Amino acid sequence: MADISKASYIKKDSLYIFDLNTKIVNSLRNYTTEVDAVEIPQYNSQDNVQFNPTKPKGSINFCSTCNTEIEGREHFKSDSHNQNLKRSLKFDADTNDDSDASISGSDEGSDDELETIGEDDEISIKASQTPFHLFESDMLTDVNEGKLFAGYKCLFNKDLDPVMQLKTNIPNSIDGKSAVFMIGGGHFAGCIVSHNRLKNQTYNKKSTLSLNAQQVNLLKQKSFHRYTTRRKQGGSQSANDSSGSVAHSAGASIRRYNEMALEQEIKELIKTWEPELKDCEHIFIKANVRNRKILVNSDSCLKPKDPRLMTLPFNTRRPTSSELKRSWAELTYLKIIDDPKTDLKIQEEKEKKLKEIEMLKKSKVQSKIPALVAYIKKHKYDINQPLNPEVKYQGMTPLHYASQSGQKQVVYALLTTLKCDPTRQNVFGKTAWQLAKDETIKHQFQLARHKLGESVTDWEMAKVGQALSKEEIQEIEAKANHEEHEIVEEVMQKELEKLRLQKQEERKNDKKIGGNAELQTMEGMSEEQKRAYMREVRARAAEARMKR
Amino acid sequence: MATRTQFENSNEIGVFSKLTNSYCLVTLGASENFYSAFEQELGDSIPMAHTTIAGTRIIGRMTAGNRRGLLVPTQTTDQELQHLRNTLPDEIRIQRVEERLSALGNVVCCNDYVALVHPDVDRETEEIISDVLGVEVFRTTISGNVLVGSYCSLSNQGALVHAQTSVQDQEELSSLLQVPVVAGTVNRGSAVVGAGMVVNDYVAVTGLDTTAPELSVIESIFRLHDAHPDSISKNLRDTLIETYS
Repeated sequence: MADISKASYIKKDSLYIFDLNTKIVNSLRNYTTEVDAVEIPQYNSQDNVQFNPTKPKGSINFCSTCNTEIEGREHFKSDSHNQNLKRSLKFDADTNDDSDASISGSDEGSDDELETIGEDDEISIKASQTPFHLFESDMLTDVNEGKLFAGYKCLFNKDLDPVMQLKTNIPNSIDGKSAVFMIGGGHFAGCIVSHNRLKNQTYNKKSTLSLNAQQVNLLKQKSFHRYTTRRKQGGSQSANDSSGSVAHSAGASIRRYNEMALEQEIKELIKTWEPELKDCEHIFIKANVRNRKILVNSDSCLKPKDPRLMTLPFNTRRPTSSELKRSWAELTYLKIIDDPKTDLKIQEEKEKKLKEIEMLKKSKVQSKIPALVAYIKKHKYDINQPLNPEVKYQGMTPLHYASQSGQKQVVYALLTTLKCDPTRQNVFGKTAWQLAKDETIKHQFQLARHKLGESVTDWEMAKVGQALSKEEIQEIEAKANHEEHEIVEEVMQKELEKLRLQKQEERKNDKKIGGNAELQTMEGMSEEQKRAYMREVRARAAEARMKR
Repeated sequence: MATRTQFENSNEIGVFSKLTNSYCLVTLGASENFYSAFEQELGDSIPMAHTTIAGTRIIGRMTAGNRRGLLVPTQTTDQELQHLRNTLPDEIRIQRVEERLSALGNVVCCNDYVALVHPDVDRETEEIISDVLGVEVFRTTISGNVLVGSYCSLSNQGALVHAQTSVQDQEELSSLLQVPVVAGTVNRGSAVVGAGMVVNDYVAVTGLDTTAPELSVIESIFRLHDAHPDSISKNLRDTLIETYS
């Protein structure tokens, strides 16, 4: 057993593209599916100049409009041809009786459907352009059965066989170097990286980087940051300026200055790195169009048409030196990925299941329940099967789900019409009854028990409470309602009492010290008296202050 | 020979002129450059009429014609018709056509033997076309476009059609027309070849934007390399003598 596991285990370390394990290299075969077979038609300017006119034939014997064999040109003057021509223009479809492509018999219907699904698959595979060259290998066994090696295409020469390159060209360039530049959000990070790894680097636990990223051998690196983006508004200052509204705030001018400064710094850096950049085999740039122009322009040493220039074919985070290392490691190690074909099937299954859940969610509204029932019956789902993905739903059946999310109509429908098994337990050994959101859901279980009778399933095992008829449930609910009402009433009374007491208290306080009381005493006094009184008050206040 | 010219900064020469083997129509009020491009090529070989049709200058799109006749839409005024009658030789029949699709240049595409027409053209119009122009009439489309006159440029030597015409369609067209057919463009990639140029058996005039490769295709398909009015009759005479001797 140990031997097998050892054999099937592939050290990630051995997948460094410039230093591949010879065993792996020799086992690699190009993986060709429709994925790779898609050739983007290339524009060839020579084709246009080619001149090969269609010469008239002696006789014409096929009419593409009518899709029939014809005899001579007279057919094109016939009414039937004109009719077909007009129809084909109207419906843009074939109207000839001979071809029944559009009309299919009922017995062939299912076959047709299958075929169209198959075609769709092919298209979707084709549509998913992958950034990888894929390789089959005999080394991929056991856990990795059916998986493939994948290397980023950008490291390969387009015109040569990828496997051959892995054997010769790429390992030969192990003493070479490449450059990686990233610009974004005022951050800049650039490095020149040697293809030779730091082999004696051991894993540093404190670093957040993986071992592969830690082994990246940076010959030169530089990263800096300038404040150029408008916080909480997104976007750079220059983008805002070019949109027409020019801000004159202090922040705007600071950012404008910083943008210029960043550009300047980057340009200077490139100039100082020029000798190294000349020797680089690949130059990877991750930047938007605007920022890219800072690096790549006719004045800098990186010319726009340089074949070494490439963009990183994956998402990167904020440009920092650790991100440079991570990106380089990501780029230069072969990956083990799922076969895109099998992947597709799994995806499809998942989608189906998800749809089921979607339907469940939708069916909260009572009117959707027949749709749910029809859907489940049509697709012949095993209603007692746990939902997918199981990790997320913890072994819940649809009944569990409905019960937990408080969809009482669905619970009832699942139990009665779809005959769900209420004794099923989820991962934690709970039945649907035990997950019930509230009393009303439990009543649905009891109602179902009443309707279906005791013999259908083991209601005790499902932990469902005693059977109740509709009337009984209504009674219970009415009672509960009444009780609730009473409680609410009581609480309200108490609250009101409290408020009344509070108000009385306040009024008493007002009489003691409130300013209102003072004004009241001043009423009925003459002007002189008022002034005297006020003076008195102020004097008293001043005395009080002096005392303090 | 094929020449390039421009009408008031527009490259759509086929819109503003009509060229057949026995006459040429050019629109009124163009620059002298435009007229001289035609005069230089045609010389005195065929009469050139300066006219409008129904008050518009888009005479190439409004009219259809070949060496035997000229069809104009009903909207053509009496003065215009009179002027045309006076300018063109007597043996050329001029006929007004009462047709709903009044832009005859767009819906009819003809040489001296065959006419391709829009599928919805009236029966009566079809008859008039075959009578006046002395041609076989076929209703057809060019790569799904009903405006056959816009998307096809046709002479007795060859035909240039919309660039995206399928090979099967090309074969069908070439057996209808009995001339070689090629798919191509004019005016730097424009697929409206009918409106972008005019051609007869020995001259083609295209828009100023037409590229050299486009021009070379045009010259090859319409056999304009060594063609001029005399050589045609000489060729014809040779064959005639061969057949009747």
